[in-house]
Amino acid sequence: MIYNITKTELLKYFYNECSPSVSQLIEKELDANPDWKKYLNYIETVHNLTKINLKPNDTLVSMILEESAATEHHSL
Amino acid sequence: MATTMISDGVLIKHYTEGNQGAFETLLKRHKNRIFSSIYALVGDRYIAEDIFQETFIKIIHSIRTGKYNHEDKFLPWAMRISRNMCIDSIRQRKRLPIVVDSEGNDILNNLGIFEKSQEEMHIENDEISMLRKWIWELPEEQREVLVLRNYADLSFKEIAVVTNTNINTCIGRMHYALINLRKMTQKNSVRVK
Repeated sequence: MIYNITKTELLKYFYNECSPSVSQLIEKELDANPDWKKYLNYIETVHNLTKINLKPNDTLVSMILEESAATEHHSL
Repeated sequence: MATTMISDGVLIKHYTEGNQGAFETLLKRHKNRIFSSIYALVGDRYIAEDIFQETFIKIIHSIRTGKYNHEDKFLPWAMRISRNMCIDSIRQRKRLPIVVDSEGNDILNNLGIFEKSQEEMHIENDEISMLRKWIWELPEEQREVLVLRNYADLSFKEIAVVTNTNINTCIGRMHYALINLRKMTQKNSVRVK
C-alpha cells in the first residue's frame, strides 16, 4: 500500500515529531521522492538561517539573580 | 561517566526550599533561548531586555508564592509569559504616535534611543539579515510559530499550549510561514542556499 505523505508529516518528521512508523516510511521512500528531499532541505535551510543564540547582558542576569535572592529573603 | 541533568521541576522544588543555586542553574539553562525568542518576536534589543527581566520577575514571584504547578514544563510556561508580554509590547508600540522633526525623521531615532548594539549590527550585516527581515513581514501568527519552534525549540504540541491553539493549526501556520518565506525569496530574486 502506498501511504500518501503530506508536507505536514514531512514537517513533523524534520522536527522528530512524527510517529516511528511514519518516520520509517519516509526514510525508506526518501530517495524515490525528490520532492520530499527538496522540501526537507528547504526546512533545514530556514531552520539553520533563523537560528540565533543571543545572550541577555550579564548585568541583567545579575539583577534577576539578586531579585530571586531578595524574594527568598523577604519570604523568610 | 555519564552525568544526569537535574530536571527543571526538581530545580524549582530546590529553589522553593531555599536553594538559590538551583534558580541560578535554571536561569542559565534557559536564558539564551528565552532571550533570543523575545528578541525575534519584538525585534528590538532594549525592549527584549525589559521583557526578559519582567518575565523572570514574574517567574520568581509565581514560584515563590507557590503558583508554579507545571512540573517539568518550565520552558513552555516561561515562553507563554514572555510571549504575552511581547504581544502587549507590540500592541503598545503600534498605538504610539510617531513624532517627526522638520525633515520628517522619527525624533526617537535621532535621540539614539533605538541605537543598535554591536551584536545587532553584526546580525544585520551578515548574510542572513534578509531572511530575518522577511520573517518580520510574515503574518504575526506565522512568525510566532516559526520563532517558538526554531528559536525557543518548543515542540508543536508545546507551541499549541503556549498559543492557545491546536497542534494542527500550529503545523499549518509553520507550513504557510515557509511557503511565504519562499515566495519572498523568489519575489526578491534571492536564492536561499
